[in-house]
Amino acid sequence: MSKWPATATLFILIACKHDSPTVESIPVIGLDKGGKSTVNYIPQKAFKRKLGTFFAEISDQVSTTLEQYEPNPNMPWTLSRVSVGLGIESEFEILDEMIEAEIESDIEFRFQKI
Amino acid sequence: MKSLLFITLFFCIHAQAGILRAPKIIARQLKAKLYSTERALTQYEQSHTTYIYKDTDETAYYLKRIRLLVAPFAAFKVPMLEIKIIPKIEFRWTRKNPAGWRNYNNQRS
Amino acid sequence: MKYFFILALLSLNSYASTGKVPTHWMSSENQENNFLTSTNEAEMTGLETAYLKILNVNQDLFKEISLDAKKTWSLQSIKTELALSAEGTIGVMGAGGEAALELVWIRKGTSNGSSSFVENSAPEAEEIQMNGEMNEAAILREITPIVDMALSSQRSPKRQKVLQRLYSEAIKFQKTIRELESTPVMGPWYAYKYQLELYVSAEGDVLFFEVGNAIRLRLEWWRLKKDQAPLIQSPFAPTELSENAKFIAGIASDLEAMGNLNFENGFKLNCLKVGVGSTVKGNLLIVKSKASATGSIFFKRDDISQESFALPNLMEEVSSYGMIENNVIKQIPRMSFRSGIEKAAKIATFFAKHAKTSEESKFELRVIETELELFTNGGIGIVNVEGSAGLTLFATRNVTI
Repeated sequence: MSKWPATATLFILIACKHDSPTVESIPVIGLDKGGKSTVNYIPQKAFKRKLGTFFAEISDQVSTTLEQYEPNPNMPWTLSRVSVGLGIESEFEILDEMIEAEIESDIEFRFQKI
Repeated sequence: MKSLLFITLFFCIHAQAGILRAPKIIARQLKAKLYSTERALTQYEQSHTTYIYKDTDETAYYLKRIRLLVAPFAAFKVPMLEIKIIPKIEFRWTRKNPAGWRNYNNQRS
Repeated sequence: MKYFFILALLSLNSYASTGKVPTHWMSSENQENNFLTSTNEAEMTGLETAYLKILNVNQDLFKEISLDAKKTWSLQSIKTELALSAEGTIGVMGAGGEAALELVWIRKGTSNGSSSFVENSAPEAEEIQMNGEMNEAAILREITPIVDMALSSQRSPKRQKVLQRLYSEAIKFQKTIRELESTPVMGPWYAYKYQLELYVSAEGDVLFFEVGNAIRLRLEWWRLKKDQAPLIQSPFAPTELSENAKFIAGIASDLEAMGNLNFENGFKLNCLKVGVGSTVKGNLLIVKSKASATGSIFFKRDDISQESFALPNLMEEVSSYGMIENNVIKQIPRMSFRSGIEKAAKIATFFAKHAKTSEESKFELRVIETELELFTNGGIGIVNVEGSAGLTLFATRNVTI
């Protein structure tokens, strides 16, 4: 049996590098060290799986802390909002190749008193 | 085999604790920064507040809002998620308009 | 073996088309006519698809967040950022560079992004003493605790240095806004607040741009008017206006070029932030990059429709605006700037119009901030990650600015 169809298929699959988009990937735009723009495609599922639970925990902990805050009643300034920004650096594995996708200051959670 | 199982379990728990620890650390630092900044701002003298005014005394600019962004501590890793967190916290302080004054608009009345 | 080929073909077909903005959106080319129809329809469809996909990913991240209705302090909104590569590919903001869009997701069921808590619970402000000049001692008294607050969050021995720098900026601002007070009504748009942004490094250096582990201090002066203020007076004659008052009035008038754009999904363009710097003499300039900005002026438009009355637009008196780029002052033709504003509005319109929130999401997209780059010929484009944003256009839905 000829091996070339399998080889060709394998070649095509290897050609699906991390710098090419797929339906299940999202682009991350940044700058390289030379100040030029870069585009990395990272797996959508891994992105959501990694961060979703963490965000839920952050929200809960910060809310609980702020609930305990007792402001100074004599101060003319009132705390009207607290924002927690999360710069996140993460690595994603794509086809056995570990690439580092940096996402910084991408998400900011804003807490206010009702 | 039992040792291997035990070691694996230990690291899983440790990693899980890492996920839970990071938000708590951020919350704790937030609390510390909140009280230290409030203490400093409380020094504000409650004497007359002056502001710029127009010749006709109808409008003015008033320092109404302060936003302070701090990075309480360096980045830390959450092993199980394989992510590094660089937190930043911003406090926004606001004060009321002086009595008899409201936010400017272009309405005729 | 044929199944290997089918698999390979499926792999190839799983490639998604990249979402890219049209090239002229990022350039200084204003293209007044047929802004959207002149672009490739397939390209626009690809952009819309990519944009919606990223919005969905954002919303999926918020799914696991539980919102406890019993808590008085709770997560009310979330801000995320999108960016454009130099070629126009749209994606999630990564490390370094300028964001093109900042999205604010507000918790469903809340009236708007702000809380009325401050107005109800803050202590009454003290009696106001009005002076002919803002007393320098009073300025110092006002900013000293702010400096102490900023420095309490880091170890910095140079308190006096920070205090002196902030004090000199406050004095400079005081002189500038005294002139802004005479800015006449030029239409529905008006300047409503001035924001001073400073960074304080660990060494106690005060800068206008971010560096290392600096803390950021933003001070906002809001424009107020007396409760019993009379009807708006007729505008001053141009000869009575200072250069800065004309600058503000000119920009407020140019914002009319955006038109009163409302969309089916409730978004409207109602706020613009302009980064400004000043000459040695104190004349205001638009800045090319944030590193040159000494502050920002915010313009807004009220929801209530204005009674129409004829107003001068100062087209003859103000034919250009100064812009500072790399410490060099250039003159931007005002007509080009006006066309650029119109183009910027159309770009912002696209993102606002196609913004969709899923029904399951606990947060709704209500504010879209489009970051814009101003070019030397007066053209305006959406900024890519390598560029510099000097203007921000806000599209909001059910949010009080």
